[in-house]
Amino acid sequence: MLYEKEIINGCKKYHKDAQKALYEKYAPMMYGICIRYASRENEVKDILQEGFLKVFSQINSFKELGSFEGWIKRIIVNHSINYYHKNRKHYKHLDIDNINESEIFYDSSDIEDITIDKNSISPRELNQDNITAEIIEKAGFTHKELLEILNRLPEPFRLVFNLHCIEHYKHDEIAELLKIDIGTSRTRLLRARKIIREMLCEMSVLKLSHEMHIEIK
Amino acid sequence: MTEDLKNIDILFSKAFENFKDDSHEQDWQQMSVALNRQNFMRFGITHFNIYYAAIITLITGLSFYIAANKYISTNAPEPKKPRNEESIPATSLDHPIINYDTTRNSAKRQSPVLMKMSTQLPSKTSQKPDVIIDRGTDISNNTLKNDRITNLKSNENDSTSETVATTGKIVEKKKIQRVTIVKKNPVILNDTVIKYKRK
Repeated sequence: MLYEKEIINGCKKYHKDAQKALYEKYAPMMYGICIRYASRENEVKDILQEGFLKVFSQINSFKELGSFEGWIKRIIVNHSINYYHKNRKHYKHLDIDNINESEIFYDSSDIEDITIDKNSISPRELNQDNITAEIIEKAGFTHKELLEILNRLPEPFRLVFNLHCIEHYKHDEIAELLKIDIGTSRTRLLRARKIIREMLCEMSVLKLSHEMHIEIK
Repeated sequence: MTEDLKNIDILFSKAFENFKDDSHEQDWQQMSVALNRQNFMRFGITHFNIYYAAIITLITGLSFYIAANKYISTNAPEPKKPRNEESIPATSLDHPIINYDTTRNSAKRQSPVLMKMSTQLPSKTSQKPDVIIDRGTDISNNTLKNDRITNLKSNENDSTSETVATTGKIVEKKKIQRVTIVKKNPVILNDTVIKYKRK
């Protein structure tokens, strides 16, 4: 088992064992990052592989001043954004301002009117105002479900949300990376949050109602 | 509302910040292939790469080129002789015997003549003689006959020129294109005694 410093030094000398050790150590985590930026499996693998190739070729520029994990993360995130820019033409061209938010939500018409626990809220009566963090928390979303929500977001919203809420980038950094205005970044984040919130509400109701239905039976 | 939004941020941040997916450990094989390709394109002293490959190819190519050039120069084919040319070596002829006698014995005399006879038409480029006549160093006594031989040269343009005979008799009928006279030491016999006896 190699230590991080040994791995880094080995990678700087292009030793295959060290490169393998580095890949095996950080690939699972970086894969977790890549799946948030690309929705398709083959795209995720492409980003991961190309990102690691960049890591191996630029490892000599790592000065060991900060965290190595953070350094790799930054390379992978930057590469994900570059990949998005490169393959932008392949994505559907949507006019962001004209996206109808209701189109990307679950259709709740087929849900039965059942009461949810003590709150006595009917799914039909659910809206943004009466759904609480408590309900969302109660629903107990898994990684897969949250990822599904993220993947349902339009690409520009998803990028901003990922960068701001998960990677903790500032708006000016996001604007620079995505080559947009700071204002646009802020607007996209707000809209992304709004869409996610509504999706979470819908999914919460669905999940809870499903659980209740099982309980009733 | 703002609190809810914050909660959303926290929810996603917690879920994804340290998220790992271990189901793709076997991707190293693909990664290794891609790394090998990348390393091959990168210059380095320690590993074989495209620059070494290019140098090896260049050296091999150059050595092949030089070797091929050498082979061509050493094994170059000799210039071809005209097919129809026949040469009669001087050794095949009898030694010339020149007598200081009169024209009576002239028919018996043999002249050192090397003949090359050809039926081929003269070409502009080739200057090879069709008939080579060896001429003795001292045949001054035989000027008449020698003149006759040397005069053959002047008749060379005549494509239908007649037989060349050093001994004066007809040897063979062939077209003569060119005649060259080559000097050669003749054997001279003095038969003055016979001459005196006759007198």
